[in-house]
Amino acid sequence: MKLSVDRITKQYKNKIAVDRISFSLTEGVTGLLGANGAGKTTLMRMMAGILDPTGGEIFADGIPVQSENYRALLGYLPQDFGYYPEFTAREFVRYIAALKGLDKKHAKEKTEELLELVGLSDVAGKKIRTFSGGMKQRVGIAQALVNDPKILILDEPTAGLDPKERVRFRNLIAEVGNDTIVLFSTHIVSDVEHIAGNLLMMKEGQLIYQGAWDEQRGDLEQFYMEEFE
Amino acid sequence: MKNFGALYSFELKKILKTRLTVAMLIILLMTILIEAFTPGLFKGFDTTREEKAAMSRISGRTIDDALLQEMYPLLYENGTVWNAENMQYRGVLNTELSMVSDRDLLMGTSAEEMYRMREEKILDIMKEEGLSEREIAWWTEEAASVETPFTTMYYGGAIIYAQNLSGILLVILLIAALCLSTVFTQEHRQKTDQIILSCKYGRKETYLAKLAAGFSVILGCSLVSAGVLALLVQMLYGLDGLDAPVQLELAGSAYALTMGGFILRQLVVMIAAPILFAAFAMAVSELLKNPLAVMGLMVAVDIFGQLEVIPPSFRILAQINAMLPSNQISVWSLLEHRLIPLGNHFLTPFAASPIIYLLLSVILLLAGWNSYRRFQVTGR
Repeated sequence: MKLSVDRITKQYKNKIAVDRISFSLTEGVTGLLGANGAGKTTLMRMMAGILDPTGGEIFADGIPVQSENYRALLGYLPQDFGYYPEFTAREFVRYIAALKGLDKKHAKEKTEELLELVGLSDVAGKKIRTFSGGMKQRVGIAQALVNDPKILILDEPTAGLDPKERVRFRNLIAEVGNDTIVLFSTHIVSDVEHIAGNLLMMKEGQLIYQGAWDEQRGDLEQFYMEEFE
Repeated sequence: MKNFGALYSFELKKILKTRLTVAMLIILLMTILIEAFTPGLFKGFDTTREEKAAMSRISGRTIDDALLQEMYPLLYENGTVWNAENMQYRGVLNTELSMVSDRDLLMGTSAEEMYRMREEKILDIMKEEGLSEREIAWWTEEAASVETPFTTMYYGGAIIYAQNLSGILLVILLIAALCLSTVFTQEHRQKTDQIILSCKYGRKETYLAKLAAGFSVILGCSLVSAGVLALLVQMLYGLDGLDAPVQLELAGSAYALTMGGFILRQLVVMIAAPILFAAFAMAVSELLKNPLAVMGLMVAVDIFGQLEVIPPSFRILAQINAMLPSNQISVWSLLEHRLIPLGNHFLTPFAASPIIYLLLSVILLLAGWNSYRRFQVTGR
């Protein structure tokens, strides 16, 4: 599968949040790096089909981002992940499974499988409002994976996770990336440097780097620090 | 639509799991109990039973000179104090009072004068409401079906039921305002909208599932409440008097309706009005992205509607006011004679209001859909 972003632009009244960005992604993990306010979230929202671009187009194998067929391919974890306090983790993931079109039996199986994978199976029947920040984030990760997405967009997914959970999560994403297009935004270089075969770096709405990291350019973290200081 | 049932059950769960909904359902139950028991507690259940037995003794008699002359001496001796001797005439006196109005004329009025006064009163009401000659002619034809002299009968249970549906509809409005105005806005407030909208069935299917859940809750509350109230009234007082003409309670009404016929029209309002409340609460809160504004607006319109601040000379405004659900459900709607023209015909407010409520609901829901499908996740 090929995900094509073609001259995508988002302009608010007097601010260009994303400025004519073009790139293509195929299966594998792509790290999206940039400081706060660089336009990462705006770009990801447009790629998730929840924010219309001012200009440009996004297609997945010719399927436009605005279509139901595109959404059927998608898994999305927003930066500020919302939940229903009165729902249990199990109910929440099953609800998202229903929204993604899984039938009841498949939704039930997939929910249990994912809650086990993110280490929440023992608290699956507890209300999400009783969860810590890291646990809530793991519910978010489970819901993003529930439909076995072909395109997975993760906006700052490691926020709120403790170091052990981060490592576990990185391994999980590396595995998912074998047959899925994963776009993973962060401003922590170590989150992506070992698992991302491809990098996008954004600064002030523009792409300043794309492709695999060129070791000849030196240390990635050093480059990032210099660029975004 | 695939998965609609699952989405619907989750949306229902979202509404019913909130503490506010639980609190409002308790308030609704309390309202039904208060509405059902208050008339009996106020008057005394024994007195109510005695009154029913006494009035049933003269049930089926026409309200003519013979009955009036039989009643007058007992009233003269006892005034308005009701006892075992005159209790059977209580309903007859109420009916006469709503025709004669002036208590001083009560004792000396013949049946013929009484029915003439009624006709004059109806005509006065119609002129005050600004009815056209054509409308008055329409009502004259309708009034020909109202059989006079009236036949007396006990209708205590039926009128208790009819009067108390207003209170229930008010609580239904509050449930819609408080519990359904957040059906869409909670997704924005809790930031769950971004996940929903990015899902395959997050647009049209979710919108419809939310509406279906909202309508189910409000219609369920309305119909179950109406049913429970009917059951309690039947148990406590007996739902007698469904065949009684509405003129026994409000002689100034020109409707050729029995109490049962009127209650059926009220039940239609109990279905159509909650649909309008739910549509307004859900769609307007999505349009404004502000549930508080919607709650305020709904309660304000209801209070304003009941204040009767619009003089009848402002016919259109007064007519709109009279057709608000809170007024349409009231027993006083039997005195609302302004008609709604439809081509060369006229519709009564009872016939027109459910259609208008449903049309308004459809318009609101289409506007809500337009806002929902165009929603953009920005900022935050």
